[in-house]
Amino acid sequence: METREYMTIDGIPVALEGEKNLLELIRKAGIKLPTFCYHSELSIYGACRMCMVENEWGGLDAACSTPPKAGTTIKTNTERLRKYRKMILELLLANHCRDCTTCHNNTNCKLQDLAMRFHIDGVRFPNTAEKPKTDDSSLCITRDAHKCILCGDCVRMCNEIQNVGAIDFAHRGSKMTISTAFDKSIAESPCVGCGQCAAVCPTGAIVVKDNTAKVWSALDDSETKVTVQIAPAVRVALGKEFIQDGENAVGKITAALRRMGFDEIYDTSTGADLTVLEEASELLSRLKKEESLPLFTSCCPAWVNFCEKNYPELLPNVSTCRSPMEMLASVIRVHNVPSSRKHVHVAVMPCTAKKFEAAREEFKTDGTSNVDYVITTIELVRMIKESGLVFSELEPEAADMPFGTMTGAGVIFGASGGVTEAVLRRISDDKSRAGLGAISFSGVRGKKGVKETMISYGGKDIKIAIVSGLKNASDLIEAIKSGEQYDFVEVMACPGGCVNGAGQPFASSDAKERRADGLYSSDRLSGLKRSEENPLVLSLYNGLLKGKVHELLHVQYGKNDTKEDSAC
Amino acid sequence: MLEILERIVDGKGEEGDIDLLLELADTISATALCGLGKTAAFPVVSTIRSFREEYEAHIKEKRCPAGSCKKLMTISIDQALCKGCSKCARSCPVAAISGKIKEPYTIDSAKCIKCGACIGTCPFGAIKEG
Repeated sequence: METREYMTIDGIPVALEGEKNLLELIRKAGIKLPTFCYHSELSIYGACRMCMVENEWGGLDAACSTPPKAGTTIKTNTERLRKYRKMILELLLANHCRDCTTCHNNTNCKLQDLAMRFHIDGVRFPNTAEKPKTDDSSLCITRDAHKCILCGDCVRMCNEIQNVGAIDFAHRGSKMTISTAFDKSIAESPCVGCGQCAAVCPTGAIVVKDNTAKVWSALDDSETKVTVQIAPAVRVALGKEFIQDGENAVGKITAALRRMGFDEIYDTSTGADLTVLEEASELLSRLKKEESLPLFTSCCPAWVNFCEKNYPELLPNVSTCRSPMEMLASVIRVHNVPSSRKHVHVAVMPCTAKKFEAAREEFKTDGTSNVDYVITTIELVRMIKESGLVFSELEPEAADMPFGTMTGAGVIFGASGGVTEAVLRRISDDKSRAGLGAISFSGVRGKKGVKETMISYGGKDIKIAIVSGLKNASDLIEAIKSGEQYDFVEVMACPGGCVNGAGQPFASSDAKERRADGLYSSDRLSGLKRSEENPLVLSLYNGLLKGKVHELLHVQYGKNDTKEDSAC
Repeated sequence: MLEILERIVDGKGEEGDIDLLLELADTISATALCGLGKTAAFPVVSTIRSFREEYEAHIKEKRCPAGSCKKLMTISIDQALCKGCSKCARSCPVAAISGKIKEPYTIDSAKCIKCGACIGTCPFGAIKEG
């Protein structure tokens, strides 16, 4: 009989079930051990020293970097440990900007949380650090080194998961900072704007750039017509203050936006449907001509940036389709041309890199961007709070026509594998329910960073890879360069796809999974499963888009390749 | 820690600084990531253990018993030993020493930069620091 192995934590036996480290075991035992620098998906760094535990000999170990050992005993809450944790917090606070009330991450800050939890009622050390300048050169993120606690989460995220390497530690000892190479601004660094650094930052040292003030002033101007589009991933991730993660709240979001004064509210899923049709026909034509394969998706702006900066030779393989946001925006722009009022178009996105995409030269009509302002889900939540609306009491409303119809194929764009699944639904000959099921079980779904599948089309096998996280993307590109053959590659910069974008409110990894599940359940609830079934799309092709498909829905990246432009 | 120590030798030490140093040293020794870090605070702990009264003199009396903290040091002329030869006044780079020949000289401590140049020039050993 197999015997289970145990460890004693604070006097209670806890079974070992292959936990990587003590910290996971302790958390499994229901003890919220404090940490700053531990993220299960990143490498172990052991810098913050908050997770120290006392072993049976009185020695101290950092729980994150100690493997569990059967038969041993540890304590997580002793007088000594509490004293050390308080001192560490006090020291972190000593050099930290303590203007909490005006911080973007006020009430959403680990340092603030832990300072409250451990009753830090005063800091005995003077703040001797010089106040460094805030770097707001990037369109996507703002860095304030004064709030940095040097946990290194952003550095590891940027290097290990995203393989971008825009930031790293510089200098030593008390002079240590997080810096770009040669201390240049973020805009001049290899940053692609994915914002994952901001998503892991425990304090407000890296935050998403805020555009809410600009949106409010457009809303307040009665001469301006303000239209808005809501991305698929936004509806399932308003954060636990408003909804449970995974619950589809698009109706309530629409109601809130309407109360705030947006004139017309559209659904980016419609844009996604356009993308599916264009991308599917692009794939088929490339397969026919057998050129520029594999076809890489182009929906993710951080991936496009990454490709431009690191693999410019692959740009011909990147789909010429605009992203759903930009497709819908250019259609809306044309649709609104005969308007007497000034028109401002806002996009609510789960993504920080979209802010950069919106400002790209390629997506301007007569010098103005098709999307005037991109706000992230975090900013939407901020605006709803600011407006005083009680979200739970809002009655769900429908989006406006003509760009408010959604199909299941459009909505699943927000999860990694969603684009592929939607394209497969489009090109698959089997239009039956069983055919849909076969596609969803073919390996396109799931949270894995690299997924592969093969389907047959017209007697030929199409080999597909789906990657999320830019490190996975560059590994795949290297494999392709060494001879691996693929026909279609979907790349999403954020691990797990747009639902886990940096513009989304902070969530635990379980909650993140529920967000993707929420999109799939919206797909199940939707009567229209395939993009070509969207009635609006058909009428667009016969009307507004006639003869303009290429001009409005496609883009050639790499043409305006000036160095200044490529800076995010 | 360095900042607290510098504060103490500058004469700006506060009541409680010694305990704060010990607490810091204990935290650092217990929780530091690297072995070097764990031992980095030891010199401070052992000096407090062996010379606690010197720390207290710095903080409470703003005095350096060993005479090595420049900011806490005063140089004075023993009026009984000084013969008024003026050698010290001539060696002073900031003209802080004044007096009449054959009468005891005095040092203006506001002007004095505690360079100690005068000490070596006095043939009678009348100039002392501390």
